[in-house]
Amino acid sequence: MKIIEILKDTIPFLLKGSVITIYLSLISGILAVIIGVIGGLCRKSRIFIIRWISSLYIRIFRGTPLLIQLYVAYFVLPFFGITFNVWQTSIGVLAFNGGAYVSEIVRAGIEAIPKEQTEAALSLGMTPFLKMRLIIMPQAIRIIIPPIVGTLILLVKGTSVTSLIGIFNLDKVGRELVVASFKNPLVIFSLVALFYFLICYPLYFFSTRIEKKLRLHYNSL
Amino acid sequence: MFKEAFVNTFTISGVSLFFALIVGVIGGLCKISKNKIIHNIASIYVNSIRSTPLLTQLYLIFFGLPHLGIKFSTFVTGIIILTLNEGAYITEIVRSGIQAISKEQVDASLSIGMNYYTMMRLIILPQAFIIILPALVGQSAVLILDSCLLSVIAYTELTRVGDFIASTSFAPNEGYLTVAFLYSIIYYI
Repeated sequence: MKIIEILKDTIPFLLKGSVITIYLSLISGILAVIIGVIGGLCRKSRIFIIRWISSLYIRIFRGTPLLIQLYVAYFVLPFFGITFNVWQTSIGVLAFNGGAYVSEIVRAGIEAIPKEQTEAALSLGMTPFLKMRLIIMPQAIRIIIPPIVGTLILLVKGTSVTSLIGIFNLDKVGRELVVASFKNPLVIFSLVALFYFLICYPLYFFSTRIEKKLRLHYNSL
Repeated sequence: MFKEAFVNTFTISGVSLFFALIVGVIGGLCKISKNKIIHNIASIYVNSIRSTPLLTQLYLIFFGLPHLGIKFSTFVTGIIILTLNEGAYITEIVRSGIQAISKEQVDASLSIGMNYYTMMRLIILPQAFIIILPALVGQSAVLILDSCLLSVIAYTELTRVGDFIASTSFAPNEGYLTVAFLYSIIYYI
């Protein structure tokens, strides 16, 4: 009976925390995909500077832990005059971090299209831009969507780290509940885990379904 | 101070990687097992860990275990958590590697008269290992990056030192970014 009491007291707070988590994941997810597509295209650019800058960006954001990126953005940047509040830093860092992973995925997808397609398109007289838009991208999108869904799942889990900066997402709410009430930490954190599970697991299902759908179209070609 | 933390980060990542590989191989074998119970246990393990963030698992184990009366040092707790977490991802990698070996190999070795264990040990696993090596290297990079989260439970690793120094002067946090960045260079090579 104690457990039911704990459930009744904590679930409303946990729900509010989940809303924040979902909101954060959605916004940073959309931004990450946009940044990632641009980044991936830049990586394949023929202009050296653009290629170099995007490579650097990807290396930095993939090579360092998310937490460090958050700390640097929130604590170190103010010294250079750039101050963000917790919301802006978390959305920004999550978007750029996810964007780096999406860039790599987009790059791999573009490279997976056989060279013959590029040669055929160019020999038909298409400009590179047209080639990208009509030939390469439609095929590449089919390849890159499943890994991107995977990255979005990682992003949802990444939002949990922002709790260490002060955002009241699911994790932080759980932690505050435990600290404030000294009730059974095992139960409360298991609830937190359960909520994350409920958010992420459907995404996994969604990704396998998408993979099946995309594979059908691929075969019919 | 930095040096000690650096060594700590490497030790905990290394030890966890070792155990996570073991867990991963066992898990991978379980996931392809025909035995429903073993397969389901492994699936539940992998799915629950992959659907929850590392930080949540950290809180769960770090605050939950003492409640059950089990107390470990931060080092051991960190290893347990990293092993369990990365082990789930490695399980998926191992499983995909094993499933990538063509069925003919299995048929051939069974027709020679090998039993399941010999076949696994001599034929399938060596080939699968070579296939999954790139993915494993990538996953160990993720492990090292994730180990930074352990600073939350006060383990003196790199991030913790960064935190500590940050209270006196903020610039070193960047020096620390360079350090983490250097590791990624290692992996790119």
